[in-house]
Amino acid sequence: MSANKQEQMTRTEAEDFLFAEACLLDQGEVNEWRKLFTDDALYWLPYSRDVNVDPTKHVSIIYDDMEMLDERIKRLQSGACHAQIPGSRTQHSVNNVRVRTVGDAVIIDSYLTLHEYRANRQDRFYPLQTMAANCEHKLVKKAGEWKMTSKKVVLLNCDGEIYDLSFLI
Amino acid sequence: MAIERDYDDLARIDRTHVSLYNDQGVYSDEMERIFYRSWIYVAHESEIPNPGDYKTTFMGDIPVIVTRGKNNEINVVINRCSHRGVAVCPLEKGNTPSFVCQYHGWEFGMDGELLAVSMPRGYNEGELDFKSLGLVSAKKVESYRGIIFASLLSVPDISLDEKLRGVKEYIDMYMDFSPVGEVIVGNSGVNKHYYNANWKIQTEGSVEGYHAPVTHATAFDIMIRKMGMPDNYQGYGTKGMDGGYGNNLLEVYSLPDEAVYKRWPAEYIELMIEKHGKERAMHVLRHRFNLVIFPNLAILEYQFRVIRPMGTDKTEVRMYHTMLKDAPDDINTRRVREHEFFYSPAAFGGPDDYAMFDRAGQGMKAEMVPWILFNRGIKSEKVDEHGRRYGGHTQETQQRAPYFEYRRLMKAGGQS
Repeated sequence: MSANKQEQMTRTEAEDFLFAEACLLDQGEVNEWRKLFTDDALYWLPYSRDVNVDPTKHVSIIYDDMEMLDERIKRLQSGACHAQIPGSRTQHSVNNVRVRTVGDAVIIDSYLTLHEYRANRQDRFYPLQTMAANCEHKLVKKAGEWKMTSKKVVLLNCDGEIYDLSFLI
Repeated sequence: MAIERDYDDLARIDRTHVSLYNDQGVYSDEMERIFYRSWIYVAHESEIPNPGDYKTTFMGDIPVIVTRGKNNEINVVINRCSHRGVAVCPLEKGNTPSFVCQYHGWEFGMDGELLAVSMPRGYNEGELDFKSLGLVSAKKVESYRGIIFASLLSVPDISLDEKLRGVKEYIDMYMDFSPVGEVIVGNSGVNKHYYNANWKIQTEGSVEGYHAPVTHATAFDIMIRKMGMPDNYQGYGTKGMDGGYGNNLLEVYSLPDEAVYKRWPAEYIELMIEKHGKERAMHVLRHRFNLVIFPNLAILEYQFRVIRPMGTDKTEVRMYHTMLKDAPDDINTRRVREHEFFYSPAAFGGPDDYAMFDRAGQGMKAEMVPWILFNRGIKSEKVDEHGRRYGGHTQETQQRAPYFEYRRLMKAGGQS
């Protein structure tokens, strides 16, 4: 057992964290959202529902260290990500929240229902997209604040036909 | 009576008519004359390595099963029960001793032979001819370096060897990035995309040198800063080439040796030299290219890209990631990371391409503006020692190339 005091998180605290994170994403506060990650964190969307999938031997949808996530954010903000012209509106709904403690970290498992829409498209009739996913947030406490050391989002249709995920999930 | 179109006039040397991208009648001709009567990519042998393995795919609009029989032979059969027209195989891939249609229990072997039917006593003498009631087999199935091609309804008028003659050196080079000359296709992931426009836009778009600095400015910036992509790659002997019979190539770069050592780790280069000899290994490692095997396959640095028409204005694109057999783990992991960086639905390149293809689907509705232009560089085109046309990689030799074969097959009227 580590000498560090084991941090605990209640389900209500976990929900507060996830709701706040969702709010930053949905309001476009991307730079604030980035600050929720530690600098050695991983942002991962696997292409497989297999919990044992090895990301060194299998392509992922996203497998970003924070250097790459910073590039992703910079690109999204550059105005030259053409798939995001016009940009997406998103609504992240979080539910089925469970919390467990693993060593010094807390892991929050949750379900995500994501709605996405793009207004102002020349071709019109962009369908409101609905996505479902299982999320795993791994958190540690740094200077009194919870930070994500990893965020893993496993889409229900991760290995199916996907039109476009050029927005942040 | 079908309308006979003048395909020499619609697919000209320097331009194509927009009706080729919109017209249902043209689409039907393409199915009949190209997708059912010429060499079509169906699978790579590494996807079905063992007897009983199969994958389902499409040749044009037709569902087919690619199987490996018990003697290791490869078969391509139409996924359609000879009794009542039901698809006998409901899955994308798997392993099975036979295919049993779950409507009336007709059982077919891996080569399509009818083996048994349920409740056979209900048939009277002469009502059930096993010999003529197998699944319909493709007329011709052959492979080169594990790449399986088939022709569905007739024997093509050119051999596979002739079809690939102008691009074999590039297929060989692609395989030889592996120290043992073999790739494993799709086991490490498949991107499954679609866009709302005609299939030929992806065929043309798979060898697009001109768009890269415009559409992908953000992605190339990162590849140059972080992935060992030479910042002056455009100065390294790049070209676009017509490889004959619709096949074509975009050579992304041809590096000098010092740049090869910057691009790849020394251990991998040494292993390649040990296995292939110095001259061959360095020749392979200098190159990066996108190769189109007309009409439905593109081979890019890390993927087999399969283009599937779904009507005039919808196209499925599957990108089967490739791993190099017996290459060091870190090289294959790098292939995984660099591929997903550019090509996943959340990646830094692919989504921007599909945004452009969707916009092409929109713009091309304007049929009163009839021409899609492919004349860039036509006056400076050269011919190499093998008789292949080539030009600068941002010019449009490689986009003009498919239409030589397109005209040839479309004019033959499916009668070959």
